[in-house]
Amino acid sequence: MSDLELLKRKLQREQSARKQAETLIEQKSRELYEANQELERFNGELEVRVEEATGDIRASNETLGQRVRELAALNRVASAMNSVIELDRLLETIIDVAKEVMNAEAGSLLLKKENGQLEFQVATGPGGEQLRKAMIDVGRGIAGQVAQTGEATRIDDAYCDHRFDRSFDEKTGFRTKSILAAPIKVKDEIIGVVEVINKIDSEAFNNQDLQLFESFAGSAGIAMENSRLFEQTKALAEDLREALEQERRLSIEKDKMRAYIPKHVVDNISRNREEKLALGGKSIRASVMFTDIKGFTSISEVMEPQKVVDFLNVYMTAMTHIIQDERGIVDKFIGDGIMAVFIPADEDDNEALRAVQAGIRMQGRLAELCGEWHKTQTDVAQLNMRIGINTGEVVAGNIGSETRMDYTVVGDNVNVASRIESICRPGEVCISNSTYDKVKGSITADKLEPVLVKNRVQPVLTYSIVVR
Amino acid sequence: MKGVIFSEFLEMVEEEFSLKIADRIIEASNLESGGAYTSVGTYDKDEIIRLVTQLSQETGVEVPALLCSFGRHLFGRFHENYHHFFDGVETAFQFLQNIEGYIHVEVLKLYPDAELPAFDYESSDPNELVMIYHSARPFADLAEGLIAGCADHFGETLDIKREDRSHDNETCVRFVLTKRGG
Ligand code: HEM
Repeated sequence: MSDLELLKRKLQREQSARKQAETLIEQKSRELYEANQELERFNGELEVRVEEATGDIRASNETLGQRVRELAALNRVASAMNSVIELDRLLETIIDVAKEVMNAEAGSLLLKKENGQLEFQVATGPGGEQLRKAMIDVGRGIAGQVAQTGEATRIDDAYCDHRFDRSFDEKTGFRTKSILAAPIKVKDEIIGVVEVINKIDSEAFNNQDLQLFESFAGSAGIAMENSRLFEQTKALAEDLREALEQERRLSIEKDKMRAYIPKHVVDNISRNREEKLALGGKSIRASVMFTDIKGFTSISEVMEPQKVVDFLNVYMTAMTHIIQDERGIVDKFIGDGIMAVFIPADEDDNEALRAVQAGIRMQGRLAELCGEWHKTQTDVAQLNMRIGINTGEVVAGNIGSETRMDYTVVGDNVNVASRIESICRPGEVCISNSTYDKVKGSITADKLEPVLVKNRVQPVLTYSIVVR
Repeated sequence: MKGVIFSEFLEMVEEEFSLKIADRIIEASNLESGGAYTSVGTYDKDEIIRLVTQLSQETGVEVPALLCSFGRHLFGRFHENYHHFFDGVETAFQFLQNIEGYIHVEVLKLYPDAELPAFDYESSDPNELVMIYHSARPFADLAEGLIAGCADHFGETLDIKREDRSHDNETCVRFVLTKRGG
């Protein structure tokens, strides 16, 4: 076989191989095409399935969203219940939440009044303000019917519903389309009706909305009842607080008076006070004492302020102690002076003697104090005190305005006591004739020159008790 | 068996012997394919056996020796056509250990109807590698040639000891490869 022949045969084999290859390639490309088609079909299916799945997810998402909104709504009413204690504000909150949750244009809340009618408490949305306090008969209109039957209701087109009362729309200019209305119940008793009007972004509310709205109204009822109970409790607590306060005030005053006024007088005054007659006061017999330190003002000007205060503290404490020990009352401090009142405990009590004894003791005590101060505080060691006492009828009672009252004694005899003190020589106790009359058996005193007192024609006879 | 093996074989016969011998063994083998092979096609493995047997008769060289030298030739061709399997591989042992887990796996992706052997490896000494060949086909000699070709390629000399464990329908040969001078 020639080489040419061999080459020809090889070429033939190669051509045959190429044909095989072509067939194979064609076959492969067909397979590929089919595979591709299959892939496309699969892709399409996948897309559909993805679409379906997405749809499912979207749907379940919506249900979930609905549920979340539901829970959030109930939660908000519940938390409103805790935070909104005032009923009016609670009702507004209920409507605000209802509108938001139900995605409604307007909302209103009506409460049953004692006469059985429903009254608009809250009405939001265009023209809502005009509805406030408007009344509806139970059984009339949609709210009225809900209040009567206790059944929640859903209306898709209000103007096609014979129950719908157009007069409110006419009043407000608002156009009602869809409505959800649910009763507000407290322990099975219908206390009102809550409504949401016109679903936003949709023709009407659906049954799911109705269900949600019903449970919402249930929560609202609980919140309202709680608010009512809270307000009741609050009012009771306030009453109680006031009663306690009143009692406390009276008892303080009684204590204060009892200290220097006989029980029957105090009781009398207390009663008067309760009858708001206290301003008048009551006339009683008393011995009034005034004290003053001679030249204290000029001394205090050269003394260090702190020392003045320290001194006054020690001095006033010591004097008050003696006055109280003699069952007198420090009525007031007047600068470095003291006004004290001694009131007889009963008919036989010699309060004038107690006052005079107090005066004598006070002068003695000041002398003692001066002795002590002599070592350290030379500037106050030379202090002298004047004491004046007068006995007679005074007016005892609360002086001042109704809100700020001081129990004290006033009257001409108080002025006389003050006047006597002013003419008293330092270190002495000066007493009026009327006081002297009561103590002359126990005390020795020197008669002084009669003293002229403002508003008195007769000069007042005075006596001086020398202590040091 | 994939056409690529046949065309490589015939190419080798033409190169090593002559076109005349190639033509003659094709004629004598009475092949269904008529000796026209395309690499992407798949042919009966008996055809290669008949071709090799004819070549043996034609040349007087034993069939195992012929298959072995075909293995060496084939490895060189593999290097030309599939050089990415050689990237980052530095020794014959490394390459051989890649056949089972990597090379033939990739081959199967390219030719899903390829019929490939399975290899088990045993290695405890860095200078020794044990490869156990398992196949439904009797190509242990081809495997030996491929191993030898691999050693040539990496410039290594490997002692190849064979232990035949074949039984029934399975060819099983244990190759113990030892690096010489290593
Ligand atoms: C880049 C390296 C390699 C490639 C691309 C490769 C590829 C292939 C291909 C395409 C086949 C034909 C399968 C069929 O026709 O069904 C094959 C078979 C075979 N390969 Fe590899 N191979 C490689 C390396 C090796 C090495 C190094 C060995 C040595 C052990 C080996 C051992 C075999 C054997 C023995 C067969 C014949 C089939 C059998 O015995 O069952 N291959 N190989």
